[in-house]
Amino acid sequence: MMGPLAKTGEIPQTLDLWLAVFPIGFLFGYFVQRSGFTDARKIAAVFYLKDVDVPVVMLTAIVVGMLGLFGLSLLGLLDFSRVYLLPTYLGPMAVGGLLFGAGMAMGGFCPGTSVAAVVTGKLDALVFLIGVFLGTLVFGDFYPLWKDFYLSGYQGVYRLTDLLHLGLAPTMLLVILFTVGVSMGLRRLQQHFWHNVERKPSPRGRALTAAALASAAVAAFLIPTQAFFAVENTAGSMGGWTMPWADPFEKVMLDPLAAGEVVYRHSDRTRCFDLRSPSEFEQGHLRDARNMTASELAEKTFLPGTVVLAYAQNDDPSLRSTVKALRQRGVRAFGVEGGFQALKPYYMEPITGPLEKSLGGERVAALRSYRALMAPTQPAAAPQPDPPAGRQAP
Amino acid sequence: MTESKGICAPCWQPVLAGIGIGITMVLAFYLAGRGIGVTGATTAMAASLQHWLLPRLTESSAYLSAYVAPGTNPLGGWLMYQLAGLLAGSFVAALATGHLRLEVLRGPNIGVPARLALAFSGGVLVGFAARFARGCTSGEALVGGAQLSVGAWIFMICVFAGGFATAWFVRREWL
Repeated sequence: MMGPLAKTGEIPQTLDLWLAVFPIGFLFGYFVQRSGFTDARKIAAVFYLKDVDVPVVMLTAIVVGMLGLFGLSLLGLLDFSRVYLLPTYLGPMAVGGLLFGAGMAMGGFCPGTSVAAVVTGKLDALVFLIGVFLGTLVFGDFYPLWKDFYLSGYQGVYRLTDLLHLGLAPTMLLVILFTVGVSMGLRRLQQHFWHNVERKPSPRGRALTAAALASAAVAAFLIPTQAFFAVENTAGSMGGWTMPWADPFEKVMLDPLAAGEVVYRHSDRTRCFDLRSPSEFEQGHLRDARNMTASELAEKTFLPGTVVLAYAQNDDPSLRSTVKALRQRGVRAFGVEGGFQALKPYYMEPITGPLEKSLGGERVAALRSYRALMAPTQPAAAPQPDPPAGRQAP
Repeated sequence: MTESKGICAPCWQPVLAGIGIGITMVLAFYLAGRGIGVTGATTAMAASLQHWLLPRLTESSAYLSAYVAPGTNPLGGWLMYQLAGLLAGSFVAALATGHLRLEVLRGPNIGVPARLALAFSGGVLVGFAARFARGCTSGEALVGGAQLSVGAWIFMICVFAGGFATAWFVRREWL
């Protein structure tokens, strides 16, 4: 079955929530406890190199998660475009990391391990967790003080493949080598400073590791993964076309292709709004678009980080002012240049020869992957499965 | 078994535990199309708690108001369900291995009040910092790391840098 099951409609929402409890949440909690991470002393020990299990567990989990995510996608079992991808905010993530690490050394927990420890009766974890709540509220209640910094350094979905200008497989190989090297190096330092490593690496274990690494290296050069990502985030420009997220507040209006790029990169946090009349909306609209008036949209509240894409029939002046009003409230909003009329040939109709010619190969490939997210889903056979609510409008 | 002995009697091999957590993450990708995470849920809980105590303040907060806006159910999200499972999993694991005990774990040279004060301060810092990072060690570092996100790798490296830089000042708490 094609995953993610909850998003391809294979499983209903209730089941999705129950699966979050078991197996996902349950296994997560079970493994955290069994790693010993409900003990603050064990976590803090890493910062004295007295017990380096924390980074070894983390890096191993990352490698397994990475191989699973990209492996399932390459095998065609997972629709990668429907997995929520984390965006990058360079400065806030670096500064957040430094403060987070300082708090971890003081408290001996991170949020997940503290929650897992509370339920096993560790009172220090409970006090830590109360602190986490307070820290969250301090951030939220004094948000205007650091809002500008919080929103700075935005890079969209920015991958190591973009940073290193490498294909997917060589990048994954580097991550695996990094994991093995750092894990072994830290363990060696632990032994050097504390002489407390009881399990010496066996020759057999070493041979196995070497064999696994060698096969990973061979695989990295055999698997054709160059074309895995539709578009590489090459420092903000592709063929003279500046990508909108190079500076998210630079462009207010996007052309249809850039609009597709925004939806593609933020598929899980983009909300699409159709500001035309209900009857126009009913005759066709972008997938998952919601129909409302410009003034309704201007007043709407959004979760922080939401990306808003709005379009009118053509270049409607009220659209531009609505987008600007949203931006003043800190919502990352974009309008579509030329409106629905401009979007139509890109997403509503089969791609024509002249359009293909004017775009060129690379962009047509990108457009095809955007269409998978933006083009309306074909109605099954005869009856339109849409809810009747939108139909009775004038 | 490595150093683990003194700290947690039968601890899993870190590589095995890491593989387990990694598989859990892949399950979350495959079943739900999202990653595992904790601070998403704790933020929703903090916002709801404050909304219950101080509704006006919360509704006027530019950041927290979106969590408690009318029509949203902050405590009904996927991450809250996952958090419930996390609690159950950790509880069962501790029960099965005899680690279920009311206690304050601390280093040999620090008293309970000082340990709790440091735990609280560390918690405040972590809760605050996790908002800037858009997640914590699980939701940002692990999930983002697996997705090869540059921001997640920067976050993770900075977490360890911050921890090592602070360790000397709090050595009496742990050593």
